[in-house]
Amino acid sequence: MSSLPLLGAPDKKKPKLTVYTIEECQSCHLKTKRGFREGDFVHKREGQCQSCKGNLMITMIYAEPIKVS
Amino acid sequence: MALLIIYGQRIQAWMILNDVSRSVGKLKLMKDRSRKEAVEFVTGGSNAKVDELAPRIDQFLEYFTIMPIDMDPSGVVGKLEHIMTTRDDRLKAEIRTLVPDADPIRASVIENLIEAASALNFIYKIVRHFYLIGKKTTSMFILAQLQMIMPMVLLEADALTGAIDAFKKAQPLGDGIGPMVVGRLMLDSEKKEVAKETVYSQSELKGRKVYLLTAKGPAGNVGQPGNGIKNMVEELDIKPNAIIMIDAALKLEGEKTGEIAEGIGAAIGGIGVDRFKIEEVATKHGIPLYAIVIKQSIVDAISVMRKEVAEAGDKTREVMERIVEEKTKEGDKIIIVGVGNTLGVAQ
Repeated sequence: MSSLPLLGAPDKKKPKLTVYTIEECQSCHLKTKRGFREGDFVHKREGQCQSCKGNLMITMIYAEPIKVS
Repeated sequence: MALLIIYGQRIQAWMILNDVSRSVGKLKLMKDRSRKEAVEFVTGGSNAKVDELAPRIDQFLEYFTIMPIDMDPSGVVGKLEHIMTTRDDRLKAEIRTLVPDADPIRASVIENLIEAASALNFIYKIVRHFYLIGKKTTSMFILAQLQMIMPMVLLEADALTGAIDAFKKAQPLGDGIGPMVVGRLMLDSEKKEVAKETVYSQSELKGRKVYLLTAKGPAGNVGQPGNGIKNMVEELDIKPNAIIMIDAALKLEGEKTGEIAEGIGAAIGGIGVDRFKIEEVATKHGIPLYAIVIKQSIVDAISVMRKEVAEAGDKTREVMERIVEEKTKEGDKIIIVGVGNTLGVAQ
């Protein structure tokens, strides 16, 4: 019955979001996920890959809901 | 029962008035919060600066733009562009006076924060106006109309409030997906400014010569893609065989966030100046316009980019490459445009 709009209670709870930064090695394509830090931006090149010493680049910054365990 | 028959409409009016009053209160809180955040960001929390700069920021929030008269519509787009450019230039110049030492990213963040706070201030004032008119005239019909549109108004106000956090931290917005896809292709090539805050670079894709165009990031700009394409075609004499535009688009309720759709036409929002220019250039030179959109809600479009949208980037690139292969042949020239706000997205 949830598809009946008049009977359903409006969803007022907004999920809490955390912002993550995804870094990708340009050589071995290893991806690492960490919390967003101020100064991060997409396509920023920073540091070296820990496994192959290739160049790291931020490929994505996104928000996702905090998972409640 | 008799009481309900006699006072039914009054009770209903009272309930509507209460409901609208609560919503006006919520809008006031959002407006005040956005102003406070803008003041705090500009002054960096220094009390001495608050006294000096807060009145100036309050003035910005009251800025208005008078749209050109459209009784004689010929040439109205040019007038509209002139007015909007003057408005943008004025705001940018005022921000430079306010914070002369701000780098381009910080200046663009301040501009975006002031735009959001100004929009919230405007929404609040309009809603309050009709609420007070309804109350003054005890017109249930004015209040009922207000109550009917209130969920949509609150949704938009909520989206603007949500955007403030993203602006302050210079995080990429959902609207930045177009520049993110195109910006990736521009990484190792030389960028040249082709219009105000708009850059292009040249590259090769599947044996075609591609010209990549987007606003200049990672500051929060939307650039002028209309002027950019016009200048590339008419001044730089690049005669493309196709223009592909990638943009975020508002999804309908029930559609999935991050869904990709293909279409024909100029995929660009705003007040219409850029779309007009792109359509005009494309029509004049017979260039087909292809559009790829990544769907998201209004809240997602102006808040921090959602995971579903960010992950749609690779798939968007695949769709774009397929269009390039299907609609053009080797040796052709193609302009690929990433439309959107480049906050937190470099190229």
